Order: sequence, then C-alpha cells, then structure tokens
Amino acid sequence: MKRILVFILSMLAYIAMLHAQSDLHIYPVFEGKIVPQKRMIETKVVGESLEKYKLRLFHSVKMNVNQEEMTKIWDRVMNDINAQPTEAKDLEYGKEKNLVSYCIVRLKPQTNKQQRYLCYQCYEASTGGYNLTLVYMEGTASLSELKKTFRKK
Amino acid sequence: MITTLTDKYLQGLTTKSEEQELLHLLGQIEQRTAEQETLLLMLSTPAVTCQQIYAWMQQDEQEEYDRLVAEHKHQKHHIQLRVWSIAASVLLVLSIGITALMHQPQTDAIAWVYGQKVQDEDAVMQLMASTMEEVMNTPSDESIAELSNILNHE
Repeated sequence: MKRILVFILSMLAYIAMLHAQSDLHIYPVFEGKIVPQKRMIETKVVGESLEKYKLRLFHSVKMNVNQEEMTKIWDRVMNDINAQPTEAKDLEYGKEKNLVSYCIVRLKPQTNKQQRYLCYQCYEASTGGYNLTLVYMEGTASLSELKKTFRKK
Repeated sequence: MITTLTDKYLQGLTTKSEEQELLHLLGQIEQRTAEQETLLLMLSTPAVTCQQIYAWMQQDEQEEYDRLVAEHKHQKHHIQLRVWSIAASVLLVLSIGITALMHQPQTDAIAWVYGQKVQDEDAVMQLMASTMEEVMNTPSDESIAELSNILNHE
C-alpha cells in the first residue's frame, strides 16, 4: 500500500514537473504556438541523467526566426523577467548591435531547494534571420555552478 | 382414529393397550402405505429392539450430520484457501510490476528535430549539452545596470 502511494505521488510530482513552466509568458513558445514545432529543435530531459548537472528538468527550443517573431519572443522573455523578483546577481546578459543577444535569469523558485532558470540567446544568422535559443531549467544548481559546468575554459 | 394413534405412537405417548389397538387397526388395512408398513413392523417388534433401532437411526443421523458439517467446514476452508491464494498472487504480480516500474531508468529524454522525433537518450543528452555550451559561452560582458536600463525603457 505504501509503495503504491509512493508510486502515485512520484507520478503526480512528475506530471507537475512537466507543467512547471506553464506559468511563464514564454511557455507558448516552447509549445510551438509562436513558431511552429516543425521549424524548431526541441529537447526535453527529465530525471536521473540530469543529476550530474544538479538539474531535474531541461527544456530547450532552437529556431531560426524573423525580426517580428524575435520581437514577440523577446517581449515574452521581458515580461517574465519583469514579473519575477529577480536578484541582480543571478541575472546575466550580453548585447550585440544594440540587441540583447544573451540573457540568463533565475526565476522565482517554486520550492526552497529547486531553482528555475530561463536562458535566451539570439544572434544574426549568416543565412538570414536570427538564430534563437530558449532554455528552461529546474534544479538545485546555482547559476555559478551551471556556468562552471558548461563554460569552456 | 388411526392417524391420532399413529401421531401419539410416534411421539412415544401411547399406552400398551393403544399400541395393541393401533396394531389391530393397521392389520385390517388391505393396502398399506410404506409408512404404515414400517409402523406395523415397529409395533410387532419388541420394544427393546425398537429402542435399539431408534438409537441406531439417531446415531446414523448424528453421523450424517457430523459428516455434512465436516464436509462444509472442509469446503469453506478450501474456498478460503483459494481466495487467499488468488489475492496473494494478485498482490505479488502488482508488487513485481510496481517494483519494476520504480526501478526502471527514471530518465525521460526526448527531442524533436524539425518535427522528427528523437528518442535515443545519448543523442538527446548530447543535444542538451551542446545547447547549454552554446548558450553559456555567449559573451556577457555588459553590466547588469545596462540591462536594467533596457528593461526599464522598453
């Protein structure tokens, strides 16, 4: 009985985790509602494989967008940043040709231990348009730990 | 008259003279029923033998009753055993299933590359790592204050 209860609870937690980002303005982009899914590379990982990165959820979308789509997406990112009581030390960004090309922000955590991050990257593509990447992550890793893990020295 | 005496006799309430009368009445009937034949036999048999027969019958009845009780008990026990064994089997199958589910790799890795589904975990993990490296290695030399300015002016 206890096992069944544990199993049901873990399933519920898993389902809740999959819908964790649904409160964000940027969520429709991940759902393919702004740019069709056929034009994206979407990656979704949940579970044990992320433990080494101290993450429990990774969700990213990469796509080539035009100026209008880029503006729509950036507006949504900005709405999310403005809606969160973001601490400055956990927010980073880069600028290119007067355009925000990179931004990583720690969002309001859902629980004390689990952090949430939203990354935005956009640069002009040589083939035209803009290459845009969005990443949503959840886990216990701090921003500095993530940088340490993924930044090339 | 014969019916009254028969009932009285079967209840053991008849006197010797009444028994004799009943025997006489039964003897006069030409076509007796099976019950009347038995009654006639009992009346013409000495009382001690009757008591003996009655005791045997009682014993037989008791034995039959005991046998039926034992059989019922055995059947009940057998059904209970079957119910328990079915319940135990169901529980065993359920616990094996749940244990298997709980111990299977808890990773769910999936990717869609321009609408094409990728389910190979290694390929998805590579895709994830390359995305993270690409994002994390973007130059970010601007100050936080400048971003705040951008956000405030938009």
